[in-house]
Amino acid sequence: MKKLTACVCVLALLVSLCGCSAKTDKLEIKHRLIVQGMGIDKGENGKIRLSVQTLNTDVATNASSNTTPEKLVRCYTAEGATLAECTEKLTLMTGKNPMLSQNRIVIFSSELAREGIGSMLDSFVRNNENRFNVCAALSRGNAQDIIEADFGDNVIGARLTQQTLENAGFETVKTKIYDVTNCILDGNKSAVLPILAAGENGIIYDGVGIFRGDRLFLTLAGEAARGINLINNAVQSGMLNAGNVSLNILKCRTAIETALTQGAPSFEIKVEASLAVSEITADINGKLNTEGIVNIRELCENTLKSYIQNALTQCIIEGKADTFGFSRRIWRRFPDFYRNNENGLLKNADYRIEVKVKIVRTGDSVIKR
Amino acid sequence: MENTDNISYSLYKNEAHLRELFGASFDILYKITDIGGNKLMFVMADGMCDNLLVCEQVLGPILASGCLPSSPDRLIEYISLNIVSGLDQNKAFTFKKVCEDVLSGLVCMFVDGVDYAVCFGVQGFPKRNVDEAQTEVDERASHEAFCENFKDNAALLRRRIRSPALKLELITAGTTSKTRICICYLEGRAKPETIELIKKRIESSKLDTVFGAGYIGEFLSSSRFTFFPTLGTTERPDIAAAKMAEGRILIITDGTPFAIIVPYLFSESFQTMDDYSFRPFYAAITRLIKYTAFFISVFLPSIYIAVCTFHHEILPVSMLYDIAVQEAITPFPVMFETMFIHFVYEIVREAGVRMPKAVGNAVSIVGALVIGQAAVDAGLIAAPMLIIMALSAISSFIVPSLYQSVVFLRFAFMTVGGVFGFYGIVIGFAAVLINSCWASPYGVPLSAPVAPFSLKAMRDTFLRFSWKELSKRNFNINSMER
Amino acid sequence: MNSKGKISAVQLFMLLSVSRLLSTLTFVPSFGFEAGVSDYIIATLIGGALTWIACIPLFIFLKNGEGKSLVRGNKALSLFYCVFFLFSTVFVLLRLRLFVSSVFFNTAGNLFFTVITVAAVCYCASFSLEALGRAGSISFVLLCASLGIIFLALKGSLDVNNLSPVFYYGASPVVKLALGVLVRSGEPAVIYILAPRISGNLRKGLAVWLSAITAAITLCGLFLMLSLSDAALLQAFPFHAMAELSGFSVFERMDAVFSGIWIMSAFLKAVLFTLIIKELFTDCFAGIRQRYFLTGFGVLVGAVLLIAESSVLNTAFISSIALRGALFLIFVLILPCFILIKRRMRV
Repeated sequence: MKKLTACVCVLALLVSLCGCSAKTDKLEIKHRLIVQGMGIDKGENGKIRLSVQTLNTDVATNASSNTTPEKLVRCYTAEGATLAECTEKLTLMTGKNPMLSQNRIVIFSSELAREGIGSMLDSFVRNNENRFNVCAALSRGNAQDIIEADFGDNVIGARLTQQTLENAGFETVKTKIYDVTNCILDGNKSAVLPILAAGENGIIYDGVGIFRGDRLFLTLAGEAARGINLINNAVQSGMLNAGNVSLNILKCRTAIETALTQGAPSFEIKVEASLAVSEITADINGKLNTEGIVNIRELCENTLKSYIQNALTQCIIEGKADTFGFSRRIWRRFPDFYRNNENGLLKNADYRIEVKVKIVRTGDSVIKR
Repeated sequence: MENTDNISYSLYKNEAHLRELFGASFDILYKITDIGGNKLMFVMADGMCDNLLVCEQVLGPILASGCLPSSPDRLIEYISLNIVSGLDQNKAFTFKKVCEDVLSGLVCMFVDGVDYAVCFGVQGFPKRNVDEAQTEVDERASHEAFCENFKDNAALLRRRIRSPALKLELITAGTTSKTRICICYLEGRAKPETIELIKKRIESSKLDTVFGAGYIGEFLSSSRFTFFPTLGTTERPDIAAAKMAEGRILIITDGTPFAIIVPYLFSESFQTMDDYSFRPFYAAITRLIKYTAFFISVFLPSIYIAVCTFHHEILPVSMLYDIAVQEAITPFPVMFETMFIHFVYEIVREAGVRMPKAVGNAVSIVGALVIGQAAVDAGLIAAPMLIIMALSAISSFIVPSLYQSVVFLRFAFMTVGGVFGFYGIVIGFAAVLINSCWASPYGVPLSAPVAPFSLKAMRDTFLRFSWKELSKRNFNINSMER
Repeated sequence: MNSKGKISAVQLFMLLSVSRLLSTLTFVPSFGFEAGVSDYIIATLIGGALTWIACIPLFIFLKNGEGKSLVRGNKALSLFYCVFFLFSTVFVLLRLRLFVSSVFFNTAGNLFFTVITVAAVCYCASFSLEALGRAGSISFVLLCASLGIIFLALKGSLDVNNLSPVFYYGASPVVKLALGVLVRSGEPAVIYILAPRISGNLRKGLAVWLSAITAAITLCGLFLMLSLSDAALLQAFPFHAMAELSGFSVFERMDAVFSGIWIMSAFLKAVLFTLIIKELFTDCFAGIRQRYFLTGFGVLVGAVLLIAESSVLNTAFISSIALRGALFLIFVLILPCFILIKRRMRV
């Protein structure tokens, strides 16, 4: 009798508690809007406009099990004062609760970024669904255009864009939301985001945006990303074009030594790269001998040095933006100096660049005279 | 009617008493004969004795013998020692013993003027021969299995352990059925306290009838509910012998082709004789497959429910998309779908077990094809659900000894996962873990040798070391007692 | 405490490691002062050293305690410690509820969480200490494995530049953080009570454990700061944020698995405290059946939890360092010292 009573109580508890947990947490997959990409633009009257690219999971209810939806993605747009309000409006629009945890990329419009994106980052930190290691990017025009760009029926544009940014070697910068957050919290380091634009045939990588705090204040051409990635030790692979030689970057490591020389900070940037010759666009009878390899190596070293030099010039010297965390290095190593010279820390800084390249492989074909 | 009266000196009184006891049972036969001036009575149960043996070993030699002592006392001794050739003989001083022996297939001989009977073993009741194992199938190991007769089972054990240390003690259980229970162990390896405890538990069971090992199993297992069995069972004599060699105790019930093993460990459910026939690396692979299959069979449906209902972010997007499209068609919530399809599967499985063999195949085909595929085509359930169910069902057959626990836990976790999500599954897992770690009805914890950890025993838990390693030090289960 | 089954020192310290690591992994950075990320790591080391000092009475107790519990059947003392462990149980469950609501169910009602958790804790506490010890050792292995996987997955995203200069904001924040580390160490109280139920060399085990757990927590903190830097301190549960980053290959969402292991560890910690309360209470009041005690205890803890969870302010009060510090001071330092001195004077 006691066991029967206990079983009845447990069943009653389970049935009643189903309701307590059933609120918005217990939503079946079919009631969720699977967001793959988010675009945030400046809306009217100080509001923000959220555009989302979602997976289309709607099929007719009497279809057979082999039916798939006609279009893979659907895009929606909503305006609101906060991202949470925009998300709520999407629910009203679609009848489904947006699932932000599968989001691949967040694109901020340049116009909005110039006014500051810090307030929007709180959603990515506070909302447990919004992952803070999602890719971030800027759009040259409206982020909505990039989100709504059509790549074809069976292509998820947001995923393609994210993969392009991740796999483009050192041609683009790859920044996550928490990197941006860290830069804002640091106060000195400037966040760098890739700038995208919607083209006729797809998404175009259109440069890099440099932030001061949470505001966009400088845009640079796409090539600047190479130097930025090199200095930030963010090059894992890529293609280096030096003169008429193309080389695969197999390994690249950057070490920066910080020192104080005569009251001014000095940074020694040492880059070590291992490359493999991929293609030489030269006379088919051109020989690749020891001298040739030395020449190629010197060419690569000079090319890499020029990338780093350009990045330093454009970002720090001309742009006055510390995109490489040099200030933080001084803060860590020489806190007293940092405390006394917080403004204009890098004003008289000296930069020495040392690049060492190793040609590890020359490919399958070696043509000698 | 129980009768504990002592046997009388008068043959006729004894006959009358027996006829009163057995009543009108047609199969109890009486033969009264006169030999050398002394009256002899033979009592047997027709069908329980081998009539040929009765004639050749007992009646024939007695009736054909010439000079016999005239004194009843010396006559009965003489016949017992010199005439009847069988070794299986015992004296019965009470009618209770006589009844037990007659009903066990012995023929009892009374002599007028003697207050006891001598019972000769001439059993010949119908029984099943030693057959192949049905539930514990192995490729390379022996194919013999226990049968219903406990003496044959004892012989199967004796063949494998030819040591005088192998002890086979007999007790009875069931006040009416008086079922013979044989307790087998290797002296010097099994703990005497455990043996006494087992005897005490069986004897205090106060059961009226015992027709299977399961009757006494509940008295031998843990007093409190456990999710996993604390008793092992096997129908294979080779496994039984191996367990005894590790210091365990075997309980063979007459009429059941399964032996109970105590103490028992959870990890033993994943060990088969084939593990010791195959090479160690392959044995390790199969063991890991079994452990994985166990977890799949218990947790996969519940995790699927929890993920589809609460934690969609866990799935990779391509899988999420496929599941979302499939689930969009179905009318029922995921939890209901899962419970329903698993319930239907259990119905089909049970029907397959109970149906006559000729029809059993048709049932499985109907169940699998018609119900499963048709339900998907009709949009009642999603295809991923069918895959989950099939995978968990097949995985549960890899460890047959845990099947009951697996089914119960599967449904329990499905309920918990559907109501409380992943959190409920984790809490449920913790509760099951603590319950399993607690169970130790014979001093050896069920969760050994994982917890408490025994490095020596790890040689044969998740992996199986080579026999060269295993033979270096013999493992005894009592070393893991806490 | 009655002479009942024992667990080994290794099992005890595995349980305590689970408890201590859990406190670290569910650490919520909510201090009202500024501190650099490196200060947290240094504070962990200093906190470890302070814990060593705070355990000196414990070492003396283990040497002279004759294998008996600190309370030694004294009803008043036992009840007093029941209050401490009751608070610890409530705190663990409160922190668990906060973690689960942040990670899994952010809009679910308090009732459902409270009922299932308290019911499960009371059910598991009805078993013996040996069962908990065995389950704890399994949980410890899983916890270490989860941390190992996280560290391995993160090794590519560690950056020394994410650290900050030590003591940049002065010594005061470091000291406050170190004291915070110290007061989270309620484990010595467990040893004071469970000493008679442990077999093996407790003093040696304690010394090894204190060193190892400090090293482990420091390592966890180091990985956290090297991977997340200042962003870690914005998260309610920084270690969970670190787990979110630790995906590799197709396994992108491993944080759900790790969260499951951490939830189980927190659950076992709550069961440990409940079991200690059960043992203390039933030793004092031998007539009370375990079943009735656990039912009543469950209702009490459930009620306290519901009140605590009903508002953020209530939660903040119960979780406040000041309250926890006061309890630590009384039950881990002052009371044991007082009892030891008193017993010494009697001798």
